[in-house]
Amino acid sequence: MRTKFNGILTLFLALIVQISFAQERTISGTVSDESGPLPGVTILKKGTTQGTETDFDGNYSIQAKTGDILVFSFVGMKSTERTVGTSNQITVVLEGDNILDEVVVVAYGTQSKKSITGSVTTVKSEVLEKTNVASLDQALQGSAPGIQVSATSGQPGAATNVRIRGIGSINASSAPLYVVDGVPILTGDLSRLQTTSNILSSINTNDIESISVLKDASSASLYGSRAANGVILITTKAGKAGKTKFTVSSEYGIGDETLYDDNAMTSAQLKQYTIAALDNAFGAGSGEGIYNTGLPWAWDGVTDTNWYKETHRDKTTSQKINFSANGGNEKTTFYSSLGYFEQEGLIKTSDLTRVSTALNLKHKATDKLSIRFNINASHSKLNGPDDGGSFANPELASYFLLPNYPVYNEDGTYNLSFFSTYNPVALFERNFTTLKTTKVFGKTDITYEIIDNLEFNSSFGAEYIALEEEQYYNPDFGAGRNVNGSASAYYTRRYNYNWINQLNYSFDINDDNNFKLKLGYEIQQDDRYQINASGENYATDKLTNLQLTSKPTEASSFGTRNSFLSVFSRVDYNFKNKYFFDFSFRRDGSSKFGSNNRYGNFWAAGFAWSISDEAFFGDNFINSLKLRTSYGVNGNSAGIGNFDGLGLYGFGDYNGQGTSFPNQVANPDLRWELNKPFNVGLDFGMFNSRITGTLEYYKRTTSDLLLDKPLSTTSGFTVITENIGEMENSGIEVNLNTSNIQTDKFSWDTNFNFSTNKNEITKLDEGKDILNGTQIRRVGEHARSWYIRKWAGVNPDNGEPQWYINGKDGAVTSDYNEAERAVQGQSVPEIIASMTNTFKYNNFDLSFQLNYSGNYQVYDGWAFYTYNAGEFLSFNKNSNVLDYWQQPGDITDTPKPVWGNGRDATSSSTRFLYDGDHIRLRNIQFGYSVPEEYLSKAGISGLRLYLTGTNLLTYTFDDKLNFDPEVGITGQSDLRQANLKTYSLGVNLTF
Amino acid sequence: MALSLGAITLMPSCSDILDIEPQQNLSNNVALSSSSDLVTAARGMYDLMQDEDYYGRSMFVLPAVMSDEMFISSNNAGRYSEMQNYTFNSRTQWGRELWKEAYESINAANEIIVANITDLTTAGRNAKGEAYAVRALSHFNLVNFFALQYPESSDLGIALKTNTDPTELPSRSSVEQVYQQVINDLIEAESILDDSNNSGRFTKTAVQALLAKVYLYSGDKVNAADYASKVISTKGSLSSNWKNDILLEIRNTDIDNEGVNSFAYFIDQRGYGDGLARESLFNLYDDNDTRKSDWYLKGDRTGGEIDTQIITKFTLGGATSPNDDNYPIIRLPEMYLIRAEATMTTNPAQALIDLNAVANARNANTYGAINLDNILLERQKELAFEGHRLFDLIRNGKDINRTTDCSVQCSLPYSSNKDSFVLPIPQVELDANPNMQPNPNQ
Repeated sequence: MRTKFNGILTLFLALIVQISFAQERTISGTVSDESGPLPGVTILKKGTTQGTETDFDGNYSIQAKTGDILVFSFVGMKSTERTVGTSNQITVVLEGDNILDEVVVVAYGTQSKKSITGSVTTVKSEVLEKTNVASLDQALQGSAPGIQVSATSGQPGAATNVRIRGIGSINASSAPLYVVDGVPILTGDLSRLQTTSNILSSINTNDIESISVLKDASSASLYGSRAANGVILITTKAGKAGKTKFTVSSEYGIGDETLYDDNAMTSAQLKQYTIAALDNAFGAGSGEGIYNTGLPWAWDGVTDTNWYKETHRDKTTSQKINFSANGGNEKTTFYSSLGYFEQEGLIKTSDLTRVSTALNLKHKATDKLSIRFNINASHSKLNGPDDGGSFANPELASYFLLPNYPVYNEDGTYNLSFFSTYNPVALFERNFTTLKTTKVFGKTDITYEIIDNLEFNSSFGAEYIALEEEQYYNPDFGAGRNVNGSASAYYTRRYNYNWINQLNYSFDINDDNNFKLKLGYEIQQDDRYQINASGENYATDKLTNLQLTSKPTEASSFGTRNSFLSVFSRVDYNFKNKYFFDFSFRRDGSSKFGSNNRYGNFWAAGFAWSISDEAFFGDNFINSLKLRTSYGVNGNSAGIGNFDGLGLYGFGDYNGQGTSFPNQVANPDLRWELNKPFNVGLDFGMFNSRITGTLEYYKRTTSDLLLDKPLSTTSGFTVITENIGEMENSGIEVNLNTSNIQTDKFSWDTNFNFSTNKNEITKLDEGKDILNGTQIRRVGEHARSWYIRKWAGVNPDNGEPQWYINGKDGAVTSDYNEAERAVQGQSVPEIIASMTNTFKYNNFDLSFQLNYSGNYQVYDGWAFYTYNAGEFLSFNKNSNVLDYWQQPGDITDTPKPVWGNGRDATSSSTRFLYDGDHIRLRNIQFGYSVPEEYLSKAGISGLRLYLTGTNLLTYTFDDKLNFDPEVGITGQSDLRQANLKTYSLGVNLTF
Repeated sequence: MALSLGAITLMPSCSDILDIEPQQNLSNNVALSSSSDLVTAARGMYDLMQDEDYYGRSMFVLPAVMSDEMFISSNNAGRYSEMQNYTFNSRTQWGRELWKEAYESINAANEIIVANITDLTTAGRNAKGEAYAVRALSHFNLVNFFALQYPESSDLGIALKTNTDPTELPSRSSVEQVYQQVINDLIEAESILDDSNNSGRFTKTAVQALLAKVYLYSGDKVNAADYASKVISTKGSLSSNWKNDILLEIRNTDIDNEGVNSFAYFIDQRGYGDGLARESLFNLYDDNDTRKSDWYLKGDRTGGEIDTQIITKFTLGGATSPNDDNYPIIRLPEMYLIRAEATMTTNPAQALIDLNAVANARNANTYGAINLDNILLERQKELAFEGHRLFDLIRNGKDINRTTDCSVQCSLPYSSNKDSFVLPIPQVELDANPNMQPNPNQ
């Protein structure tokens, strides 16, 4: 950010001015940015070395004369020049750097945006804070092109599927690497008794300053064997020198289902359906009699329980309170915060609460030595219900329990006469599964300037995570009844540390050749420890602690570790700030790799050309234009277990004595999956950067995919995991930011993202298909292809179900087994897009984000039961089946029910495969900032009130779809809680 | 600069940080590095053999339902019905898993055999001996199930696995070659082992008993009789309590058993109770035969057959202590019957004494004549549900006739069915191993 002497003309002018007005006087004023006074701003008289700095309150004074040009400069801000006129006061408000000079957080450091050759998207805290969700990964949805974020459950704090530039693996993880302030952290669901959880939800989104998403080789390959699925760099908030600024914010919200609540039958509907099924099986007119005399669960004509309403909240509530303080002086700055977050899920016992705190301290000990210290700590508590096929799953109960069962007996006690005593309302009161997570993240970072432009940096970061889980089943009914009550207490501790040492050196040759060199060394280790304890037979039903059980059923501990040892280097070179080259290299060793492949080499090369800096480009409406491309090699080691490469003996017992036996085949060749991303992009700014944007094309080839290769069983083993498969992901990405209207009072900005992803498997073991339930992995197809029979509707003549014999078209059959399976689309969107509009009028602001996911199919995994055409009639059904065929000529999609004979009408087929395409109003926020003049007397510098909504509207394109199509990459709705739609009211106070 | 140098020198060396061993498992080379390790690993072989697809259940159910011993109740959960009805193929789980489990135990044995430990203790030597014996037993079981019987000795046997290379793709040896390897391993085991183990593990005597059986199956009557005699002279006369005469068994305990997947659970009416004895078998016993009342109960099968034959030879321990029974692999009465069969032409008088020794021990009527039919009859009665019947019939070229409790495949003449009695080589093996030949005529 050095300003250059602007040629000979300016020199002459300065000379003339100096001659004409030689009288010097004191000029003073204040320098601030949008958030307040700025200390440490450099003020130079142009063309001289005379200058000063602003003090702690942003004030300065300097000797100057009329006509002198004062240059105000500060890191991260656009330098501003002011000519001294008649006034002795010059007050300056500095603005952030323009788009290409922005400093971006990248792998192991920062970089000016202009010099970036790779694909990096930055998301600011303001964007993240707009969505009312528990974890930062969910807040990323729609915020950047190429990132697909999908909730897997409406449980607050649930696991989220994040995929950057498509699915990168078949059996290993396709999730990106997350790095907080330079430290790779643990992600995913670390719990063992909960059906879903997400360790990222222990981070308070309000403590995040920005997120950089690294998508290609040049930006990510420095992370070597962990970079293949992209990297998400999280930078936490730091303090700013100046007067201590306090911020208090509070938000309260209510919520309900995004799209649909239940659609189960009422008692009368189920009776009608059951009688029709009986009529069709035993002769018209016979059904009513059989129903009344033959069915133990016949309706009494009165009871009509809505099990969904009994188990779900009418409205959920949520609350967020955050307090932060930041400030400091030239030597020391700090940021500290305290946060509280609470959100209820739709199921009555489901919720998440979190208390978090953060401190970020920076201190400049000497001119050469600076230290930074961060600590983030949080404690959260998650209560989650069972899901999937468990009888205790309230979602399952909502659809399966007959409406003619009452919740309570006449005497007010729980009705336990059905479902093996699993009355979900009763279970709520007595049973629980609780997860308490304590996470502490700390990091100390020392930078020492050895000589000019040569810096040494050492950073040690660690996270300590403790998960305490308790599960209790009461002795009276449900899962604990046969053993007089049971409980489990599981403890999981993770300790993950990382130590990085790096040298950074920059130098110029002839001013035009600029070099930056980086050399680093890194160690990381993740250590896990677990204790399991379970027992049964409770001494009392009044207490739930495990200690009150009299029969221990499990007592064990478990420990495991893995480590990485790496060296890395990066060279950045540019010529005249126009041509940029970079090359990065990393050598990764990991304890997880097989002994023959303990170390892997990864690299990337990037090139960028700032076309708009060329003389021939001249001045035109395009004010910046940059072409860039990159290619390289990185890896995915996330799918390799800690000891997968070793030949192992396991232990057991026989006849009361210990035993050992081979239980894992040695796999010395086991190694990372290999990813080769190619990227080409164009960044542009037009009309004085009123329009900026990026166009990109990517293609990444992933090879050496880990697949199971069958072994001769004579070895004592059946499979060995080998690096065999290959796949490709390719697509385009568009990002467009426009400042549509920009006046003093009114502004309108638009941000638009669009991306495509085409995934194709190109190699499997000997080309053999891999069946995966209702999906298939097949060469030439998407890695998440549906592979089921194709539904051909109901035969209008006889009400029987039909399928296409060849799985595609043509001849149909009513014999399910005669129909073939075929590929029927895929469960992952091929197109994602989002648009955010922000309006400001005086002190009012309004913004909303629309997200689109397109070209994918979702499957109703439980329709086999809930739509069954004659079986499982002791379970309730979806009321959609009331549209059943009744007489010849009826055109319907629902076959006639026949008691005891479902005719496979609900077995897996495209009947329950729906287009998942949808547009969602992801968030909308309307705010009012109280004008400063009303506040300053009270010592308040800012007060903003806002209303915000998350997931308020969803438009789906498939009329038959009757669940929220945001179900995670499996594409399968699995009787999980619905996603939340929330409305909140918030206030934000700064003083 | 000093700081950076300091930091770098603090870094641990590469080998420290990347060499991590698991805490719950041991690497192969470490797991078998002492005599006591070998003993633990020797017990591990039996631990593996406990599996329901091997000596936990299938080893007893398959020869019973494929012959005329056991039938599956009409009230069943589907287990083994394709074996009874001869509708199995190369993908049927019972054969596939039996194959896998047998080779798993062979691999465990091979690891012990190849472990190079100097200064073996007596216990360590015994462990090596047991490994040879287990390898022989499993190869013998495999060749019995997956190949034609010894009279077809030049036909395809099974793949012999005598090393620990997981990537080897072995082809099938002949039946004769398999027997030769089995006998060699047993003779090696006999030379190493002593008799210090309990009946839950191989002893020298148990190895000799197995040798007697293997020789008998291979038609070497001299050696069969010789080894049977060695065992009989060591063990003496028969006990009236059949459980006292066990030479080798797989033991199950309260805390270590196959639970609902056990053989006992399959036949005990408090468990699945799917497996019932054929009435034709039950009717063979005299009323005074203790086996009739000890091993069978006339009664109703819940939701199934009325007045049928419930098997009580093996039972669940009881409602309060649900440990499964122990399952015998070789018992002393078999030695008497082997010697009888081996010597019935060369020494018929002694053979008849041996045959009647078994009948007498059970308070059953004795035989007046010595012939193969009487010997097979007594084997049928004494060794019921111990995994013998199918092989006793087919190794002697006998037809399988199911005269009671039968609806399909009630008559299986040997001559037209001898290939059907052989389990197909599992498809997963054929897919993974191009050198593995499928059984001809299947």
